[in-house]
Amino acid sequence: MLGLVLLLPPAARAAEACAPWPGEPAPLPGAKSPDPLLAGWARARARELGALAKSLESVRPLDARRLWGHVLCLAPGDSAAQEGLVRTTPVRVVRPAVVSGLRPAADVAPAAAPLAEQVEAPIVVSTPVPRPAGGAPDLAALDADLRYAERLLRAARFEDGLRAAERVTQAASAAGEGTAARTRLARASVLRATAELALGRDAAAQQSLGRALEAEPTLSLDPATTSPKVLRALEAARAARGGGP
Amino acid sequence: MRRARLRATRGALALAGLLAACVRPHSAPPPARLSVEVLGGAARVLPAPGPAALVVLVDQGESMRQRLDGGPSRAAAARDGAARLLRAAPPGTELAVRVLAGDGLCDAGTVLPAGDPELLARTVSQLEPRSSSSLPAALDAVRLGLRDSEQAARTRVVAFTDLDARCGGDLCAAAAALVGAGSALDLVVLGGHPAPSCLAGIEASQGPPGFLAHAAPPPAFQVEAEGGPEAQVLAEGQAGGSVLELPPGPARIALGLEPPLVLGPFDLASGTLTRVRVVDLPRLGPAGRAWHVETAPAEPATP
Repeated sequence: MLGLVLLLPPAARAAEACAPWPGEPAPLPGAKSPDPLLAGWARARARELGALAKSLESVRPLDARRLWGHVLCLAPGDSAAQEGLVRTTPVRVVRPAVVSGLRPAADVAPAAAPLAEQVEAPIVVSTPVPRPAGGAPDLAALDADLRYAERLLRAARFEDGLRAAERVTQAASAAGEGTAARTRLARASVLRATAELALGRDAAAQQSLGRALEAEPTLSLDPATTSPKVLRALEAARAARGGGP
Repeated sequence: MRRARLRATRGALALAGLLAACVRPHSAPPPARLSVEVLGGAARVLPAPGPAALVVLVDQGESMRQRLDGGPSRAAAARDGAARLLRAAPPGTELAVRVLAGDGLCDAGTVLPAGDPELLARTVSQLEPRSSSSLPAALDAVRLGLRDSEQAARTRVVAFTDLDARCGGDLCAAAAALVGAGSALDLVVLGGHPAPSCLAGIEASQGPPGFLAHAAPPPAFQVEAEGGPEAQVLAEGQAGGSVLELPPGPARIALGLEPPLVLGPFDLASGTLTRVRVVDLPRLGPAGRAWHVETAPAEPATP
């Protein structure tokens, strides 16, 4: 099909590209059609397809490209469609800048930019963060992993969130007995419990919250940002340990 | 006998006259004619586009050991770029990673076991360069692994590579086949190897995406007489269908759109064609609806 398209003369290719789609009037009217109703339809159709294309770019880039191409048939010169076609080029060759950086590999905040833009971003090649003297734990890496687990839970990806929280729990447990490490261990245990409660594993959640209270006996959670189910489970775990609320 | 015959003749003449009065064309006014067209758009509700799918190819072939301007190696840049991309994928993205580091046989690389983004990113971060795999073969393998055109349309393939061609293969053919299947391809090139110019000429197929490939059936409409105590349906039809002939008089047209649209009353005049054209793009809301009514002398009906 692709070969056939490339063999056609430019005029035939343009005609094929601008053939009406199912349900559209034939021949396909444009925004400058002498018939005001057809011109109005073409403008509205271009708006409709442009909005669809924009919403599909990150999920179905080449479907979005077909839509942008058709928008240009309906509204020749439409700048949004021209930009959309550039963004949805089928094969892109990207040569991003590569720089060295001193930061833990996990400490990259999730960016909101679409994947197509992420691909073009500079690559930061991480070199290991020197561990603080005395073998102190890498708290920055722990915090990054905690943020990642929280992000999964906010996205309702409870199985993934549980696995991520389990990894942080192990890392925090191995990070020593210092206050900072214990705070992270408590936080990771609460995240584990949150995922376990969401998955209906209440007994496991109680154990996780027990570990959280062991690490930080005065642990309290913000009622404004914590689910009542987790709050109730924490108080139950505290009561089971014999501590007051 | 003669009188009886006369009576019969008179009766026959009267009946003939009555019949003639009924069928005589000039005795009734010509009908009104009506055509209804709807210029539509996409349906208000379309199928969900499904989750995006990201396939990351990480080249860890022999040539990736080279350093980039004295800095990190190409392999390190590929690892960290791929890991960052995996972590940046929006939640719900279907992820797959193929490592191009074979056993010296220029194979299509190896697929990492599925996992969450963090696990995949950490695994990628620990890769080391080995022998070269073939990028064209890897692209072919990705394409052949796509379940169907629906999955292909959701898939973006991103290859972190130096475009080293020691394994041979036709990169442009593999890229064109992948694009032909419906997937987008990004080549993140590390190092100064030029990209084949034929890549720029690869174009995706045209025509409507699958979810717009079938037009909705034209809406039905009813013509109702205006003015009577009860709505009297004069005719029913489908937009875009044949021209209707109707008794002249005021009427309304009820179109089965979502939400329904009632136009009129119009005076459907004898011997005229009333052409009703409606623009209806439901995804644009009220702004997507307009109509136009025009009349013209009706051409005589073709026998």
